[in-house]
Amino acid sequence: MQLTEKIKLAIIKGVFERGIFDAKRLMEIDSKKGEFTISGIRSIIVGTLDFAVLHEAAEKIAGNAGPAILRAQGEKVGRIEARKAWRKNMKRFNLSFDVRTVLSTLPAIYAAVGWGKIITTGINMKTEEGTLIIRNCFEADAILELRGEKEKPQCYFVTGYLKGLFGGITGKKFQVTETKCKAAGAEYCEFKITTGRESV
Amino acid sequence: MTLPVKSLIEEVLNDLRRVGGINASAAVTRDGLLIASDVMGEIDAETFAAMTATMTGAAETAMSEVKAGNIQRVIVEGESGKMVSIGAGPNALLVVLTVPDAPLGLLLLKIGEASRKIAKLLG
Repeated sequence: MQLTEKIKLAIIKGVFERGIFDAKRLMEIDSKKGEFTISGIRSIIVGTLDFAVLHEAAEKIAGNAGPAILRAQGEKVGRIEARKAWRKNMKRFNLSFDVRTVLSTLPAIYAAVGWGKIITTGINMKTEEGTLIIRNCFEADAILELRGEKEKPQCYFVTGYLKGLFGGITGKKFQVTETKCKAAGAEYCEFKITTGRESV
Repeated sequence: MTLPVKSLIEEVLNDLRRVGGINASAAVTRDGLLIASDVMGEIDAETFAAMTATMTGAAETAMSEVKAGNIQRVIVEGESGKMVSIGAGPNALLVVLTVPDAPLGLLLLKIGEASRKIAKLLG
């Protein structure tokens, strides 16, 4: 039977939601060694407020250019995760490694690991451009809690991460700009995603 | 920013290259985003923007830490060239890469003029 794209993506979403549930059971603590692993990968649990501390440290060292450090860090992490984690999982489930499949499953996965509630319906799957919304974004909430409301959008790490993730999936160059931010008084964080280079 | 402003800044950067002794230049935001550039193929303009803004920001915080006041410019001298970073208004920087034996006196004058033009364009 030929599955429609819609049904296929619904199945994928379900598979990943179940996958995350299983992943929770794959968490192990080895108290003798003092090690924590998820699916065999050495991990640590870091409080989100530590991200706000990273913001402070980057600003202390680089002043106004602090965001550049955080964006670069996020972009690198996004690229690594696209190429390793996402590609590996797509292959595991025999799915095509493209923006459509990643975006269809991304909200379930990132909600499960606490990044916030991601809404990807604003992305045009053909052009791979549009807007992505994150409600309760961990980075914005951390900034709000530790540093209070800011004038400008603050999710520099997430901005870089999305750029690295999209770039890592497609091999194209993307620009990601945070246009609304909970840490700057908005209801949610909104990211504008465009291909190619765009002036700021 | 509207496209014409970006084009006008690119014109300022192109004019600057005509002075001679300049290999590349870029206008970047103080938080490390690229506005416009005139760079060689092998340089990633976006990475260059982030790095130079970080370098300038770090210089500013270091000077502030020792209470040496606001910085006028950052000059880095390398074996194969010099890099000059200078403010272009409150939100932007002009970064210029020169040949190693570039006459800095004249160039700083021209770079200063260009930075003021960019500051004006950015409003």
